[in-house]
Amino acid sequence: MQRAVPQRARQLWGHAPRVRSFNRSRRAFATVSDAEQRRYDVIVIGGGHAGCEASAAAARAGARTALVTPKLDNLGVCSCNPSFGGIGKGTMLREIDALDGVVGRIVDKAGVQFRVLNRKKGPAVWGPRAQIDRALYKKYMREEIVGYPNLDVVEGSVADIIVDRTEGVEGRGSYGNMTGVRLESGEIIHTGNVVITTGTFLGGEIHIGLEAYPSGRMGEAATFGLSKSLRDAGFTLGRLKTGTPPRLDKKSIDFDVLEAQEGDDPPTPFSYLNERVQVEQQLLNYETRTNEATHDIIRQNLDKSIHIRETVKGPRYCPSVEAKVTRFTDKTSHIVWLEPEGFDNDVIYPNGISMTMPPDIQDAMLRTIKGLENVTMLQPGYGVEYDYVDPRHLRSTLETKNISGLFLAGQINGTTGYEEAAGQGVVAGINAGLRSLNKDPLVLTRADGYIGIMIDDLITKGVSEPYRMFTSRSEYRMSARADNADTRLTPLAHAAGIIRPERWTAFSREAADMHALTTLLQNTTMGCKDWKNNGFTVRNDSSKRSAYDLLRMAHISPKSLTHILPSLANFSPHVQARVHIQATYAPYVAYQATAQSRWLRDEGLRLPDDMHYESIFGLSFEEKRVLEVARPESVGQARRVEGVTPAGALRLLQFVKGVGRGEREARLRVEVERRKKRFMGGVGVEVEGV
Amino acid sequence: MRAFLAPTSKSCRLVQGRFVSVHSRYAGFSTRLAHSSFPRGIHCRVQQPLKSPQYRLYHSSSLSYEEPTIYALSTASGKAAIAVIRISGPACRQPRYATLRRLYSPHIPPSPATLLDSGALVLHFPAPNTVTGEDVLELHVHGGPAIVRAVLAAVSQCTAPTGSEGSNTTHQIRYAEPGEFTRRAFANNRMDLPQIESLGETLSASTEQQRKLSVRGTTSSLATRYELWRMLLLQARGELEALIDFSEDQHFDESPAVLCASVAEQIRNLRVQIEAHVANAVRGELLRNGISVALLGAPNAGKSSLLNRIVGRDAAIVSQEAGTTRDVVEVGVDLAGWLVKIGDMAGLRKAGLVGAEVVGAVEQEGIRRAKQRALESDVLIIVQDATSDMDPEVMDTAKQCVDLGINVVVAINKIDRLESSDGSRDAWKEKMQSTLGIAMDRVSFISCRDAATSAADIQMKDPGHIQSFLDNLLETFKGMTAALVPDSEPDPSIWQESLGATERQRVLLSECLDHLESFLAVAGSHPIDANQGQSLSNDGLSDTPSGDEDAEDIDIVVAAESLRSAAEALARITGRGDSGDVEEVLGVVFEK
Repeated sequence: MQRAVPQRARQLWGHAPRVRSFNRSRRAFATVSDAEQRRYDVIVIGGGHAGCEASAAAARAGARTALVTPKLDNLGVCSCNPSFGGIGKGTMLREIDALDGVVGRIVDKAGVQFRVLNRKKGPAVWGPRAQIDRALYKKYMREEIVGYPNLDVVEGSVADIIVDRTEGVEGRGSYGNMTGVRLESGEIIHTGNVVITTGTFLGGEIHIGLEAYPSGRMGEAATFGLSKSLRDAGFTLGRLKTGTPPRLDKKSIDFDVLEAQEGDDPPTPFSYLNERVQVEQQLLNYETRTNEATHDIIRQNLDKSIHIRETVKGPRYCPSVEAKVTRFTDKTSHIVWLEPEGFDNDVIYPNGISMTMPPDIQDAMLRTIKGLENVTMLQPGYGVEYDYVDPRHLRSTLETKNISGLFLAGQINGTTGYEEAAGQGVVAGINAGLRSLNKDPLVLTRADGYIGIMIDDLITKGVSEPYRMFTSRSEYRMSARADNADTRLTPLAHAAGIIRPERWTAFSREAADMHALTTLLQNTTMGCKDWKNNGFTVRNDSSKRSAYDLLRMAHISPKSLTHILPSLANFSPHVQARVHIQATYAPYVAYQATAQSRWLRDEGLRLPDDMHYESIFGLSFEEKRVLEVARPESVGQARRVEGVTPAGALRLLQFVKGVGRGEREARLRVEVERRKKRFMGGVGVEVEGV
Repeated sequence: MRAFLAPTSKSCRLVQGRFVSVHSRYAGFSTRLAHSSFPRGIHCRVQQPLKSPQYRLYHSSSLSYEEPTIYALSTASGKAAIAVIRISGPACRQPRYATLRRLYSPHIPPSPATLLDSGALVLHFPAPNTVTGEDVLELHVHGGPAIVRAVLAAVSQCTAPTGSEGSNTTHQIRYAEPGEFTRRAFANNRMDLPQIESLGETLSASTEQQRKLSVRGTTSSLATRYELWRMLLLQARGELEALIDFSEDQHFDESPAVLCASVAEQIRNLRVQIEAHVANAVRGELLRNGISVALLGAPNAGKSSLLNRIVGRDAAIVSQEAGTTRDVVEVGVDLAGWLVKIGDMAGLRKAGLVGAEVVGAVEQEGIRRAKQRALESDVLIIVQDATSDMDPEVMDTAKQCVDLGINVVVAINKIDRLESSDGSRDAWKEKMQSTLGIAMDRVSFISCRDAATSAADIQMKDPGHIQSFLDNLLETFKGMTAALVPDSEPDPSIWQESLGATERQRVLLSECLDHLESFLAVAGSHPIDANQGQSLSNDGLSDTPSGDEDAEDIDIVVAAESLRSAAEALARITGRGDSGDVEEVLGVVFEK
């Protein structure tokens, strides 16, 4: 997995700053730069989807936050497709919004087409999606971030992070504590909490055809110093790759021969705060397909792309068209969606054909596709290869185990997709903020929703290919749906103090309405005869059914109940629809709730951070190895670590439930003694900070 | 062999806080040694008292907290020639050879008064290749209950803290909890779950059929099979999930309905297999728990006589008097390897039918119990007096049993009293077939009286034809306990394994079946008929929660969830996967 960046690439970006141990030199620094010192509670490095969410979340938590980005202009840039959401991903966006994140509201402002995918397959797997206008999205995101209370945007490149390696600081990571970041300009900003969201910029390298050069995104420099620092701190780094398709000129496409895909009418907004989206006049997507001629060109030129020849893992679920052709040889055609990039914009994004061939071949290939016979390619597709940090170094708060106060979020953790990045960003930001204020962390479990599922998968299983969210990853998808993200998460977030009053008021009102409607429906019960007399077909038996139960039947909706429950009209159609879905899934939710409680029992069995797996008798060699890497936080997590057998899990269980207690207590005693000694002997030795 | 050559003059002493081997000539040395280098633990060191011993310093270098050492009497309690006490845990130190030792009480200097057993075989098995995966010490002591008690008591006294060490950690030595040795074997990867489950049966097997059954289960092929099924379910679900998660990125050549139909076909096949497996598990239960047989007949038809002939001893009181048996008499017997529990019961008669006699309250209760017992049995033996007609009460109860699917065999008794035997025999056979639908070859003719009177007569091969009746009965047993093999399965031998499935496995398999049913209810019926089956909730609201108007559409999400739950049920059998919680699975296994 690990592969050195080609030497040529290294030389171009020769400076490689490294982690500094400030253990010794801190005093000198302190005197030199006292005057110009800036200090923040939380610093977020990177202004992409993860960075924007993280910085806003930390600020919302009450922490004085700075977002450091090389170019203010690049805040919230969408480097790949001009769309948000989708199946599974859309649910994550709703969850981010339920945590009072920013992305949902911005998408509602910048969206050009809204559509719920999987509409026919039941609300549990509905995937809200929106095409956005790139320019508008960037504009609104920038406005949002720049105007966010408690949040400063600092223009500059971070050269390195600064770690205090002093031994014996309380709550210290295995390597040290975060104390600040150093900018390329030499300026040092002090902080106890850093969220790194550098995406593909960490050791990033662009591939087009046989060319390769270091860059995080077309036209932007990659970051190398951080990779080195992270390696020094004991993080395992690997390489992953991803790609993006060429961009096409709208004017050169023959849309008349293609099938159009319309958005939903009316469009459903992403944010729980919005009842409508900003622009209801929507743009169209067009569908076209590759064919054998396209595939032939690809097959003949496979040797012309270093990206393909590399052994580095690319996303299996969002594959390049080259991968599709070589992997699924029996398919003679693949779907291509032609997506508009905005209202006043002539760029078309052909979704489904990300590629890395030389530009002339890309051009030839495109022209074999229906509707694209005379297309003008504005920018060729390219591949990016980048460093990621093994996410098993993370806790469920996304704080690293190695350096306390250092959080990682987004593509750096081996994920792919805007939504995955933003989902991690919001969790990392919230927890960095809470930590800076000495508050309890906010942990989302698997049962809480897709964000919890994603984080748990990442930190227990690690990644071997870019991680993308699917509904099938969730064992609770009947209960954790796109429609109820707010009821699942907003109260949790409110308790952690990161929900702003407007949202809490709106949420409380809606929750109260839903509760009232549910109660009304549940209290309306009749026997089968009475239901029949009212015109409902139910099975003949002696049991009484409530109106709530009846909603589970396909042909009954709240609307069809209005003649017996006139007061239904007092509830908004929106609330009615939500309660309808809730009623539909009630038995499944109940079933999953029992599974949840069983599961939570194992989650409650905490494993100590500094567990010596080596010394636990009875674990196999393989188990010790994987557990040492993953260092799970609980027995439940340990069970999900690949390679841990039931026998091994039982071993840990016994350890937690008493066998290991003796050892833990002994260690605690030693620790107490040590601290006592330190306290007695070291008056005024060390002052926090540099 | 050296073990048995070892001189008995050496002794093994249970000393304050530890077992210390004491060579009579080196007693002082050995004791001192024990104090200095062995802070605690059971320690039998014998062969080279003068050389520097190569101790295995168990865990002493690591910080790891030791598991307590556990011990238990491993043989049945009661008088026996030998009793084996098994001790497992880090406190067991090494003698390298099997040795014969005198055992003395701890705390007290060895003397004839503190002698526990004059000659015990001490076996040490070093970790990790032992039954528990830990160091194991076995004391084979003389089997007198008093000796066993004394030695057990002495082992536990070794837990007393030893003041001389100054350490406040005392190694715990305690009596093992039920199943604890096995639990440790599991924890140390010495056994997997199904192996443990069938171990219990191996130990408790008391008949030949039970032994065969338990040996089958001890291999882990059952677990392999469950895992195979689970993988199949995962694959099937994968196909559905692709439809859910990739419908937008990819074009599917098959429509959802076609795909569901093909998945449903696989699931139907799987269902047949699991159903057969569950049925076999029930059959396996018959082998493990015994086949329950009820004797049904009119008063004085000879039920108790037949019971006594089968059991071979006078288990039930027999008299000429009708209604001698009042309560149900249960007798357990090993019949050609099958464990059979025969219930002899009061004869059934209608009040007032038999002459002027009144059926008293006690007899009435007896009759009620007899009926009850008959309906709960696995096999019903109708005992009928050849010389009288069938009592309507008997007929009624027999019919009910037939309707319940209980196997019925008939014994026509008292054939010694029949004059023209052949004609009436055929008549009986026909009657049984026409009234109760019992196959002719399930009807036997016996004479308990002949059997009783000519038992000593060596000339007669089968006095009273009891043996041929028993053969008939055994045929029935064989039919009931043979493994069901689905037609599609080419290799019947695999299905023998399924007899070894335990009750816990059966329950989880049934749960799995339920989920498969709800899957088929959603997805299976689609192309064949529109008959909407039950989904998860069986409450008359059988609609699947698709919430869309398109009736053509199958709710793939519900279908996929059913498959997920089914796979989880299988995972919980083997403890694999991350469903359920680990304690739940293990708890069930270890409570045996």
